[in-house]
Amino acid sequence: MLLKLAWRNVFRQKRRTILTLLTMTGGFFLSSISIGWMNGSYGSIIMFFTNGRTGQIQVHHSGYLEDPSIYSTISDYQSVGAVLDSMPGIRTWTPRIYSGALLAVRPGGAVSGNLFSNSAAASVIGLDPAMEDAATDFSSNIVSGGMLTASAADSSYFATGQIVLGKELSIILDASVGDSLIMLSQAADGASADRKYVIQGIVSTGNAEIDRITCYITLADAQILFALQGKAHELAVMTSSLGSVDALTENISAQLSGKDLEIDSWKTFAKEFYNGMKADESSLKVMIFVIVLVAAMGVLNTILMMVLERRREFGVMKALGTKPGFIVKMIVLEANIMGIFSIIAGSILTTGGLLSLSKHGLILDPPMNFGGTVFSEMIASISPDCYWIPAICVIVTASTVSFLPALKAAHTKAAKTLRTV
Amino acid sequence: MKYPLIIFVMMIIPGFITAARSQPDIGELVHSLDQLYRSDDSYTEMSMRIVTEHWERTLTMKAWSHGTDNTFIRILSPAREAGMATLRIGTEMWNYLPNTNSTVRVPPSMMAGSWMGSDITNNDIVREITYAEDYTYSYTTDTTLTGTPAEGVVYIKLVPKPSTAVVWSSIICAVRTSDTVPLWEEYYDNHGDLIKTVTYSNVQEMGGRTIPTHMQVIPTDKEGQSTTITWSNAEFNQGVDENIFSLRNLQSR
Repeated sequence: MLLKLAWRNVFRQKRRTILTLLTMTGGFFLSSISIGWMNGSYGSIIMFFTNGRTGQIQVHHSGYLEDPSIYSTISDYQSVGAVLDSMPGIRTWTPRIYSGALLAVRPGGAVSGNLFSNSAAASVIGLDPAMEDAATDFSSNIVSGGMLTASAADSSYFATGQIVLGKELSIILDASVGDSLIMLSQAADGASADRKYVIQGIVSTGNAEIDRITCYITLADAQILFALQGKAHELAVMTSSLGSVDALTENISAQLSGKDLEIDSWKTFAKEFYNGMKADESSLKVMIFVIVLVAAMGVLNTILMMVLERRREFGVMKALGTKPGFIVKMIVLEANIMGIFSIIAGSILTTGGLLSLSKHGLILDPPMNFGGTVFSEMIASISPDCYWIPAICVIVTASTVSFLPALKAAHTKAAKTLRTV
Repeated sequence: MKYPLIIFVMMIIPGFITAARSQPDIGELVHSLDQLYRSDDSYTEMSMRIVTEHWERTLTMKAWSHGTDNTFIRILSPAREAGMATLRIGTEMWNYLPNTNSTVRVPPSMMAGSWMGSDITNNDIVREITYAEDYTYSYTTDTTLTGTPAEGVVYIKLVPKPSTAVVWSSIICAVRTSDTVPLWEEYYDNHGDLIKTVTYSNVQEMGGRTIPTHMQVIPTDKEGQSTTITWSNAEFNQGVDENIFSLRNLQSR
């Protein structure tokens, strides 16, 4: 009887119902799209950032992250890598050596001579070209020249090596592909580390701050140059999915316990990026709350309007002996029926919207910068969150905001209402 | 009453003579310290063993000097560093790196930096400072600085003059009186904290001089770290080719 009455009431005043439905569906749709965006674009931003540079998990010698000393090395990185290879959920891993050096270029890129036209301090990263490409697709960022290849410098200290410069660093040094430069540094055994290099390529990682100070040589070259044979400072681990990172981090820590190693997820070693993401995620949650609040105000408004319009009806019901509780239940039920309709309509709209946004994304102009990585497109993803969170919001909102008008309707004084309206 | 007085005088005179013998003229002593390894010209062969918390390595080298202005050092081994050289003319200093065929002038900001990763600074090589001219000096009997005094050893406190640019505020030097060879030097900062200790040992006749052929520098703040120089050959005042002290020679391998 109650359900039948409520159902009929919903369709009695179509214009009013459509108005309420539009408000509710709009609220559902907007919050649903926002959640889809939050999940999808943040997930893809994190994967983009970590896959492009850091990896989702990193292995270092204990204390390296706090005090990145040249002596703080993973002494037998190959055996650590073998453990990583055996673990499911790990896509690949790549070893790296980090040091600092002074780079100097002779005028016109000349091979010898004591005049240097430009010099710059640089961060040197030694990487395994094949493994780095498998992990971060490093060579796809090379804008001029080519990727590092095996050279005599991989086995002899006295040979000329190959180097890839960050784009901004190459501008500072006024050097281009094919030019020679020299590197001056100190090896881990205290000896001087100096070597001639030929510029093999120029790389643009999309982060100008990094490209201004970074150059890349092969891991084998770096091991000889810095007297770190068989050693690495970092293993960047690429996982298959972002969701498994925390569990995998713990698992790797357990597998490598007793080796004096430190295993961290991207949330630790890319703290700045992680905090930026968290701050942005919080602001999006506030946005979703505002959307729900605006929708709730709209629903409250239309239901209040409906109660006022139907005062005579409630007066008649009261005069016929209807109990106030029945009227409250009826109005709340009406709001919930409309809520269910708006969830159905909203879900259809949301699915279409999210499908479109997951394929084409939203172009950001100007691009957004998270922890030094620039993103120019935001992509959404479809997940159960996009449906059940807005659905609960709609039902709770419909029930809550309709309750007060329902109480007002329930307390309609029959005689007075019938006399005046 | 005359005799007892004579006897008393005869008793104390030898005492004065002994005191005078144990405390030689400090000016001469400081001058002899300055001239310990210095001469009009010299040629030396030596090894330098550097030990740190993380690594240790030994370099062998040849060094030439002319007066107080010119020094040239060529590294002979290990293979990775063989051919590297350092030239000093006056207060200017250059390093030659054969692997990159480059000559790097050591800028003033790097003069306090380590030479070849050792506990010897570029300043130590360039320095034209002499104890006699750039320090005030006096004998010290302060056992908190000298430790328990040893027989036949005098202790000199050297304080740099205000115009002397050094990072320490005093040096305590223990010198054996019999041959005026230094045994050790301790360097203190202006808080009275020990910065480094230099010990001299294995005194030998080399190149016509009696010199300690073993010198060890131990920095106080770096546990387990030291630099030890051992001379294997030295020639003094035999004449050196002045062309050795040239950029052309620096860059020849």
